[in-house]
This record gives sequence, C-alpha cells and structure tokens, in this order.
Amino acid sequence: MKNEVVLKTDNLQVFLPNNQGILRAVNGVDLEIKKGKILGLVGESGCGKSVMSLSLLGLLKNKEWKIEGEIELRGKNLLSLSKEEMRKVRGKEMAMIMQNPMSVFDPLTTIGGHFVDTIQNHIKITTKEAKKIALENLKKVSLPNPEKIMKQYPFQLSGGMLQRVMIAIAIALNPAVLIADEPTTAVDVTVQHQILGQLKKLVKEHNTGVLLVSHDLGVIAQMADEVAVMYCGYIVEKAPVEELFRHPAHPYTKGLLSSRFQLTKRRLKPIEGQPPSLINLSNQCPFLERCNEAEEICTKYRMDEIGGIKNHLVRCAKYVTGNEVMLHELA
Amino acid sequence: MRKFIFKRLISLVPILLGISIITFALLQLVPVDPAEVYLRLSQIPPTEEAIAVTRAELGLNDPLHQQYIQWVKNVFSLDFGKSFVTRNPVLEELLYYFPATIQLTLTSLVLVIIISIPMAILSALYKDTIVDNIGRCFAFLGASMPSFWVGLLLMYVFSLKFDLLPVAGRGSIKHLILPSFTLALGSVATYTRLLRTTLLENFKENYVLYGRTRGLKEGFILLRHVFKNAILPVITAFGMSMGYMLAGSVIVENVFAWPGVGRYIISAIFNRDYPVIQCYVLIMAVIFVLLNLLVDILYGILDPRIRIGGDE
Repeated sequence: MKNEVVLKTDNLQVFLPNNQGILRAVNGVDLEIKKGKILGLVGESGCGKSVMSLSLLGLLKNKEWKIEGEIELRGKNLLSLSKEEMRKVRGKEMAMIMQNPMSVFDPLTTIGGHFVDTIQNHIKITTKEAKKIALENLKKVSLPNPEKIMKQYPFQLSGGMLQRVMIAIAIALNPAVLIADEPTTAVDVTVQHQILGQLKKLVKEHNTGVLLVSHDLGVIAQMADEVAVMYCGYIVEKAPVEELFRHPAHPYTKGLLSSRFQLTKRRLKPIEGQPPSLINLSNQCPFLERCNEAEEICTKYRMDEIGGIKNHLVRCAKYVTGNEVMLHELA
Repeated sequence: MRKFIFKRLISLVPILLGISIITFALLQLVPVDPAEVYLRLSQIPPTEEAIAVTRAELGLNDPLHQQYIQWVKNVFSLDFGKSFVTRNPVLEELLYYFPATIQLTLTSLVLVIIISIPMAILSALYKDTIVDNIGRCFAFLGASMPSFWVGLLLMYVFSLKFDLLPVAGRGSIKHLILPSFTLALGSVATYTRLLRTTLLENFKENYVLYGRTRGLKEGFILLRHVFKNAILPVITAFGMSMGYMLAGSVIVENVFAWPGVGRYIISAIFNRDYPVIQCYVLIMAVIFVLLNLLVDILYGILDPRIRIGGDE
C-alpha cells in the first residue's frame, strides 16, 4: 500500500513535427510516481522537462504536439480521455504548481476568487463552503491572516506568498498527484527553503505523489525521494536520491554534480559544450559529443538499451546489461 | 473606492476652469464683431453708432476679465444668453434639441456594445478562419467608409429599394434604425478589431494556462479571466469615442434630417449665432469630461490595481 503507484508513464514520447523535421522533446520516458513520494526530475533548461510536465496534464500549447506511449493515473489511461474528462482530472486529481507565481494569477481576481473558481469548477458546493475550504488550506501553508488574503488581489502579495497560495490551491481538492514545475525558482533563497519544507510536509501528510521538476540539484536533494535525470528528453539515470548523489553513474549526472557549487572546491567545473538540437534526434547517445568518458563502444550504443541494477537505472553504454559489475565497482 | 472617486472629482476642477476660459475666448477670437452680427441678424443696419450702443448693451466694452467673470456667473445661473436668431434663451433651445441626439447616441452605443463584443469574441476564438475574415472585411469597410456615405447607401437600399424603413425624420423606432446604425458602424469596426486583439493577447497570458491546470472550463476562463482583462483597454478608448459619437452625430443628423442638436448647431454656425455655438461647445466639453470621469470610475471598479494601488 505504501508504495502504491499513482501516476505511471510508459514509453512516453512527445514530439512535434515541423517543417525542419521532428522535434523530439520527450523520448521513451518510464516514470512512476508513488503515493506520498517525491520524484525529482532534473535537467538543463530546454531538455524537455516542462514539455513533459505539460504533456502529463494534456496542456501542451501547440495542438501539433504528438504524444505516444501511456500515461496512467490510478489505473486510468489519460491519453484516451476526452477533453472534458481530462479537464475534470486537472486540478482535482492532478494539480500543478507553476513557476513565476507573480505572473500566473489573474490580476483582476482576488485570491479567494481563484480558490472558489477552482473548487466550484470541480465540485458543486456553495461559495460559502468553497471559501471555508480555501481558508483551511491557506492556514495549512501558514500564511498570516488568511481572511485578509482571501480578499486581496495578486498584486498585493509578494512572490513567496503567492507561491504558498498556489500550493494551497493545488492541494485544496486533495489531488493524487502534484506536478511542481520549478516551484521556487522565482523566490529568494530563504523563502525558497521555507516553502519547500512546507510543501514536503504537506504532501507527506496528504499522501500526494509529486513530480518535482527542477534544474536545481540543491532543491532536489532537499525534497526528492527518487531522482530522474533528464537529458535531451531521455531519462539518462534514475535512482533513489541518496544513491544518486553518492554514486552517480551516468557521466552527465556526474557532470551536473561537479558543476554544483561546493565550499571544498575552488572552481566549478561546468559541462563543456551544448546539448544537441532536439530536432531529428537520433537514438544514439545524445551526450556523446560532450562526454569525457566516451569510448569506442559508445558509438554503437542505442538509447533504448537500459543498464544498471534494480532501482538504479542508467542509459549509458558502460552500464548496459552484462556490464552491471561496473556499477557495483563504482559504488 | 470613495477616495478614488473623490480624487478624480477634484482633478475635474482645473479642467473645467480651462474649458470655461477657452469657450469664453472663442467669442473674443472670432474675426467679426459680435455686435455687428447681432445687428445684422436683427435686420438693423450696422452703423457705427448702432454698433457702439450694442457693444455697451452686450457689455463688450468692459475689460476682458470682468466680462469673463460676468459670463461665468451667468453660466452658473444657467444663463447662456439669447440666440441672435430666435431671441430665445440659448439653453432652452439646446435642451429642446438634446433629447433627440441623446436618443440617437445611446442607441448607437448599445448597438456598438451588442455587435462588437460578440463579433470580437468570435473572431478571436476562430482566429484566421472564415468567421474572422468576414469580421475583418466588415471592420475594414466600416472603418474606411465615411458616415455620410454609409448613411446615403443605407437609405438607398433599405428605404428606396426595399421600402422597409423610413428615409428620414424622427418618430417611431423604425426611424431610429438607420441613423443609429450609421453612427455606430465606425465604432463597431474599431472596437471589434481592438477587442479581438486584446483578447488574443490575453489568451497568451500565463493565467490562462494556470486556469487550465486548475481544470477550469474553457468558457469560464474566457469570460471570467480573459474577457475581463481584455475589455479594460477597450473601455478607455470607448470613453473617448462616446464623445466623438456625440460630435459625429452632427453629420448623421444632417443626412437623416434627425432633429437633434447636431442639425441645430450647423444652422447656428452658418448664422454665426455665437451664444449658441458657445453654449454648445461648453456643454459638449463638459459631457466629454464627465464621460471620461465615468470611464475612470468604471476602470477603477474593474481594475483593483488602480483602485487600491493608488491608496497604498
């Protein structure tokens, strides 16, 4: 019961055919979000993280986007749902916390209005009851004077407060899954820490499964139970958080970790080069050009071969089946 | 909110003062001596003596500031002088013609609102489809055809060819249709396009995506969020154009022989009936200012950033 999977993607492919070819943003992603667990999704900007989270909600802006594979929410295949059925899922069963809280609220609607709208679009209750739910949830994110905040407009609140409000709205209908897309990139570090702490506490209390999308390894380390590293739309490595930070296997993950700021290091070591274009991406290792561990076998490697051990999966030539030993050696 | 309205009211004082000075100056700036006009219209030969007597009678020999103060005093007691032509008090005459103009303008206003809002929403929702293109053609025609021409065309088609509506004059509701539509057409074209643009811009805003992630219905997002945000800039422009519609009614009233202020003022201009012109300009200016005040207040009601932002 404890490790019940609430959201599962199976070989998820998201791509956009355009006049230059096919833009492949998400490539064969298998993820499992478990009840009360936080799955961190890390990667550089432009690696497909946001496209991935929007595709889960069925909200990719351009209608030309194609989605293949499977997205299963508590046993329900989301890709087979009608538009209206999908709308009912959003906000109620699967909620989202967006980045830039300052710009996502409607400037002409009060905070209370945002709450009431969300609740009343899903369940039939009076405005008074909806407001009561709103107040309860505002209290959960420990905002001072929630009654006053309900009547205030977004421009009267700070970014940090708005982010808390957004969390409160997201959990108001007690969704099974919460997608947090860079939830704290827009607020300053001290507030970030508080908000993340609160978010973690809330999702554990409510037993919500979370997909936490971030480029910030610090945030991931603080929050996640399991981490998936994304590169060019591929999950190149997936492991429990401690395992990943202690024993990173994929050269890209290692690169990410060593480009982090650490007091013991004098210089940061950035990953050289740029990721390849996502247009007409082949299934060769996309990190090959930038990899400092590249060898002869890498050119023959194809991205659909997954290596590693039971809960530590790596998409790298050096860890494919038969080479499992290496992972242990590293560990 | 009360504070906001009060502030707006206070700011009206200097504006109204300026208007009164300009209106007063109008009479001083005309190249002809009002006394002479007065005499001519009264069929009295404007001899030098007669002019001198009349000037004294009309108080035109007093220093300017005294004349101004006297004039303002009169205005406050609603005395705008007498028409040179009819010898009736000016205000009485204008008020007699005003209801017809107000009726015409308000009807046009309603037409503008009920035509342009749905058209804009449809054009925005079905962007670059046949619906949008029809709207575009309509807007192009509406904006580029002068109202006297539209008026004549409509008259020709609906009154002469098909004999559906009366040609001109005022009376039943039927009389109102053609002139009010003619007057509305230009604004309908402008506002349909303007609102379409602001709607499309607002559809790109983050709050739309956020609304969708919260599972709001599309229609709800459109009406509750997008429309409300999109209508704001349109309201500002609209306030300005209500004044222009009042002014534009001059042409339409003449085309359709609509017995309103517009037609009256044209004849006053030809007769150089200065007190009438002066009173008309003053009333129009005050209406213009009040309409803008109304728009400001409406804007304040709709946009909390203006209403509350100013107080904090």
